[in-house]
Amino acid sequence: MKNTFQNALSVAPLLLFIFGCVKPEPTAPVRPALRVYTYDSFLGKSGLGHWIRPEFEKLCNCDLRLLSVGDAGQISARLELDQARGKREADLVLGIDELAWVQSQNHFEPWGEWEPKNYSEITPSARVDKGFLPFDYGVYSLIAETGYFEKKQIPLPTKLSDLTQSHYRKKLVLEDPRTSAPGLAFLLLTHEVLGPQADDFWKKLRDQWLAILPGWDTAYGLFLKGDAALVWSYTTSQAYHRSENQNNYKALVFEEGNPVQIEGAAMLKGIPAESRKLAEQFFEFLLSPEVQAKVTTHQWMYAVIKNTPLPASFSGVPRANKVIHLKKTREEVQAALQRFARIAN
Amino acid sequence: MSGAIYTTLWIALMSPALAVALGWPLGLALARVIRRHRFIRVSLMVPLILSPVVTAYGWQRFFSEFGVSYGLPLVMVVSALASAPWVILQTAFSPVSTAALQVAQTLGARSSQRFSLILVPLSIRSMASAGLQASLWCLCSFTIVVALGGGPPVETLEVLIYQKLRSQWDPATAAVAAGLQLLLGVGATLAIGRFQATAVADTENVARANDFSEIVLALTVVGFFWIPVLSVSFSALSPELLAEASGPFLRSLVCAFVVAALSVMTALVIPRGLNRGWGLLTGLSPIAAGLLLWLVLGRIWDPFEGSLVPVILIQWAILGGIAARAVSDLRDSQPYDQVAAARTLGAKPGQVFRILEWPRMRAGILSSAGLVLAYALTDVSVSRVIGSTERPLFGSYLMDLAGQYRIDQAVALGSVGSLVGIVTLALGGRSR
Repeated sequence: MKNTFQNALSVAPLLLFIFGCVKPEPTAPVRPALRVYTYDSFLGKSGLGHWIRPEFEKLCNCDLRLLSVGDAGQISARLELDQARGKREADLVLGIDELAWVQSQNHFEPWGEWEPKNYSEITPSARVDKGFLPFDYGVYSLIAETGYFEKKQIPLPTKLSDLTQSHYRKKLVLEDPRTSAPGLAFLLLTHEVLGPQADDFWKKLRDQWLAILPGWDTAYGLFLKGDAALVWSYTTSQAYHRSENQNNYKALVFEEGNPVQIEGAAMLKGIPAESRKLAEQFFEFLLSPEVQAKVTTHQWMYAVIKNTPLPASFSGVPRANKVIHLKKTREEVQAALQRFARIAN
Repeated sequence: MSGAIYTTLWIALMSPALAVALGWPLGLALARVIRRHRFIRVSLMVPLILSPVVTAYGWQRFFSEFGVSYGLPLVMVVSALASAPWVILQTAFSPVSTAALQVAQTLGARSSQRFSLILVPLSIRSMASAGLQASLWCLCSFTIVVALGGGPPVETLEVLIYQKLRSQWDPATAAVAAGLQLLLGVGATLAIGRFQATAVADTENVARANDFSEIVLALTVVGFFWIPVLSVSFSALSPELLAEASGPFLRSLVCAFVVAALSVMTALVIPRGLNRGWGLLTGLSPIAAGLLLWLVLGRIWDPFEGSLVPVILIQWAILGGIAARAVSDLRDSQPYDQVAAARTLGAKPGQVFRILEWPRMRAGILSSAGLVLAYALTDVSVSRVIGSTERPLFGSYLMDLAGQYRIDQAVALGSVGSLVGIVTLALGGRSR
């Protein structure tokens, strides 16, 4: 009986290990590590994460731990959770945009006097604040499957208010502004352009969308499946389709202008000194010509460093009539989201 | 939140009503065949233990052929179709006396009289019980709403809790929504207990069902409810995909086996009164339970680190109720005389169980373990609310695939996952 009990006890650590309660003791000397929260598509098959990790690890002689926290919209929630728990599992975050930067600024560590190499080479329109490292940028726009419009002989929408016309009914896919950065940008664009009429626009739009989905991935997937003819995405999505020899997808710019998204990275508050050195090295790596050249074909966004060569497929991408920077305070964003929730539900 | 409450209640009322409207007459019509033929019973159980990803996208594909797109009507109809086989089975085992109907017919009662004076009064309790169980199922349904709702305005309390936790970080609102969800769930479970009718489990009193037309009708009904399964394209299962899915699948399989074993063992060991009480926990929403764990343990435990322990705990608490109910019935019918005699003669408890109890309980235990295993393996809710995105569980992985519109692959993998539960259930033998 005693032996049985002892045997049972001896397998307990193994079971605990299998179920993830304990971690194995490291046997080799531990390299310094930089822990980065990022979004899942960055680590996806065609994401830039797979290329960045080994390259940076060679450079820094450290471990780069890219931790996926779900889609980009879930990064802020993760930061809030960490704060509530009083524990942080990462040193920096990669994949926030300028809106998330404003919303979550209390989580980020200022740069102080430090400035990354190549920072002065960043396109002025892609700069946000010191502390936020721009990494790539893109202009939000509708993408249309032109075959549908030709077949039905329907004009392509040219301004926001066109979207409420009956011939676009159930042909539009949007992202939920409460969970998605593109969705939030579309919502704020309507407030920026239409002002007090924005609520009326959304009341009409409510009957127009086929679906309003939690993230860009899902929305674009539904669009590609052919169920919808219009999706809210980026002008550079057109470049991706051109590179795949698909000429029936076209980016549409609004007469009123289109919002820009600047995607970047920021150090998290309380980052240890050793990790901060690695983080600074990582930021400079992100601005290096090698990484910036990869941004266009892995992220399908524009590189932030001036004069980075663009692939041929970018040549037909339309320019926005007016680039809109959505500079909103936390309170303004919350108010817009509450108004959206009231109308949508 | 009022929109989410309204939508939740609307789905939890209308879908069960549809399920009962469809399932009750079919259950009555097919009662003899279902009671007599194990194959039909198990075939009707299959849609109930399918991965919710297969159910949602399988039916969506079917309805898209008729031009039905995302929205509340699709969610309601698919929820009804997903729970209708349960209503059919419940009705088929309801204590409706075919003898009484035959006597009434012989005595000249018209069909309307037989319907209103015998059929309805005798089956009203089982109808209410089946409807409430379908309602409970709809209350806790997460995948169908997320997959087919098309976003706002189709937002239920489950979806709201998930969003407030994972995307918007508003635990206070999530907790209020979870409280409401728990109240609704426990209320429905208590009501089910009140209406639960004694099932007709024996097949001896059932007239021999050799009527060819009844069997054809039963097979047609089975075929209809198998539409999501029939939509599976196994050609989507490439070796690369199977390799990619093996990690999430194995993690969930380990969880599911542990949950099934724990559930059955606990149900066998704990006092009978507790077994009955445990059945109440089946009314808990997995997402609300996940939130509870977040709030209680969040400071010391990272909900996203990928540990299987919290997943097992939640699934054990909720799904264990299924085993508890089944095993509780079996323990109630224990042959005390034999057990007492064996003990008096010096048999050890292990021997009593192995020789007397196991042969009698094997079918019920395997069936309930199969059910628990199937639900745990393909569960989406728990894996979404506390799972790791780096080391996802199977249900969460399937939802990610579907989110990337690799729906054929998600559905094919989901049906492979469901096979494990189906095989265990089929091995379970003659239980309901």
